[in-house]
Amino acid sequence: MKVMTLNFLTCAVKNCKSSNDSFPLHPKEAELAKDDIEINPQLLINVLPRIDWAALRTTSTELGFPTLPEQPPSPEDLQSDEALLKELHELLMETQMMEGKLVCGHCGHEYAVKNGVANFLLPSHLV
Amino acid sequence: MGSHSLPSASAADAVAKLAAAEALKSTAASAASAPGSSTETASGTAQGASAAGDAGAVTVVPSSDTPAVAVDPEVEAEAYERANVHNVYEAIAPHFSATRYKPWPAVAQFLHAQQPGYVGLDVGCGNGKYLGVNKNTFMVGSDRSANLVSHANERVMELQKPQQQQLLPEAEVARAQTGGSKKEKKQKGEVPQADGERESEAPNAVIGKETVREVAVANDVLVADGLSLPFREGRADFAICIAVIHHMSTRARRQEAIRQLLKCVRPGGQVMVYVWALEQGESRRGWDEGGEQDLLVPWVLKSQQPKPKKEKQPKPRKQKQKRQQQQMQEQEQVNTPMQQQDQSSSEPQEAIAAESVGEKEATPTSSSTLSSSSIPKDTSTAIGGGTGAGVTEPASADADAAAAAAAGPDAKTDTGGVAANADPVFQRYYHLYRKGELEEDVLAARGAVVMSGYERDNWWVVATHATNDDSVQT
Repeated sequence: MKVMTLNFLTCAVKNCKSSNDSFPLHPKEAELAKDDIEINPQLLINVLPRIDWAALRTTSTELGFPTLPEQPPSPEDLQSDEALLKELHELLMETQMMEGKLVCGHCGHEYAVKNGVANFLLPSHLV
Repeated sequence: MGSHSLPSASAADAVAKLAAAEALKSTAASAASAPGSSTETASGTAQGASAAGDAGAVTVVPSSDTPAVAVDPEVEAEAYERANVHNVYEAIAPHFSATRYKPWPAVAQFLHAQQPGYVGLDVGCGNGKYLGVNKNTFMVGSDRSANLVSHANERVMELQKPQQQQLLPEAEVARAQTGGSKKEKKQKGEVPQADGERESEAPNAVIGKETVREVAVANDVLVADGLSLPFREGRADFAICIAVIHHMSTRARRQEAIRQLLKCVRPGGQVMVYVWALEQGESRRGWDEGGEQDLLVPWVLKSQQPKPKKEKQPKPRKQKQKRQQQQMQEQEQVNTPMQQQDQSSSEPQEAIAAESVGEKEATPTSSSTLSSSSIPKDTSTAIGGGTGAGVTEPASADADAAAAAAAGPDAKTDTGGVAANADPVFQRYYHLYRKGELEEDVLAARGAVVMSGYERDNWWVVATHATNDDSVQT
């Protein structure tokens, strides 16, 4: 489960979809790993506007990383700043949550993450 | 904003932190790249079939829950699908996965048409064969089968491994560097590996020459039900759902699945849905217009892997067909379909089914072998608010090949009767779409049809929101 992916996930429970508390999901007891992935500048620069930066800041902080700046870098920033690009790549693409739980801030349901894969199947009473 | 963000300081810290994390979890990291053992499944199924190809280990489909006590049709529909779809895929995952490697042309074309940086979803990703087809998009695959997802995860890990072949001429390396990271480039100037996938699109670049190369692959996978997806609404640029909704046993659920897909994409975002067609005049299955639409299609789990087919060796379909035609005929008889229903007057086409359709006689059998088939029933029709849990299945991209695989090369399985050879037979529920039905479902899901077509025994459609107000981020 990449940090990038977390930026696009919310609780699978229908009633939670409309709640602001269901996003982002909160990592709990997270064990992280870092993959070695080749950087794709074109992808990153284009993906940047699709990211909910505020949520990314939250996730990043909750995972124990230093606080991200309030504003996202601009595409120009990324194009001209190689180091910045690389950092973003490391955070979004290379950082993996291998184990732990993802908790919905609205209903409190916890989704297990095992071997890097999150399981969003709901118990029948939550469907 | 000149003073952009990510101050080096904090960034550096982040990196340091990561390094620490990495050290701590080095084991986990390696575990990630290893064949994942799957997580537990909701239905607690055949866990015996873990990653590798030990198909032989699986024998019977556990039909755990749900006594066939009729109650809520929706609940029943879920139970039916659990037994006749979900559990089956959990059980045949390794074998199934070994037979899925080549993207359908129409799907590949759709994926290649997506812009760099687009975020896409593959609902019912199965073993993840569509992840990484367009290397400049970020794709998240989901599937209800934890076992299939573990295969998909292996694929993701494989895809993102830095390529080792370097052969970029100096000049090119230099050019590539203009846009950004140099190190990476150098150590892995990868070579366009052209197995099966064509990188046709010439992405509009943002960084000049960079676009020429295929660079990192960004994909992820998770386990989720197609009717209870965890994706934020309106955030994805596109979504695909290939060979999935034909496994849902009521029309209401199939339409709801499409509606859920549409909800996931932004205004103007496109959703491609691909389903098995009733009209298969060209195939030897014998299904065609006017035939039954709700069927149980057998999958013969070969006790030994048919051969290590890998993704790398795409096999021309024709060839395969030729070779296996015979066997397929025998394998594919359709067995008992679900039966119909009276209750809902609404869906004519779903109803009824009881007779077998295939070109051969129905195998009496299989049903007896699998516990699963015994369970359900009567679910075929509609009703149901369309929600519910369960469904979304696998990504069998091509059901066709699936069947083919079932008849695997070494299979001389015989026909009719089940058992002469001990290979277990699993029945999967399918709703075969008749011409025009998929488009109807899109409209019912409040979508609009952008385009649609037929490809090798399958109907496909590209849909978008009915009300088009492009905006958001494009």
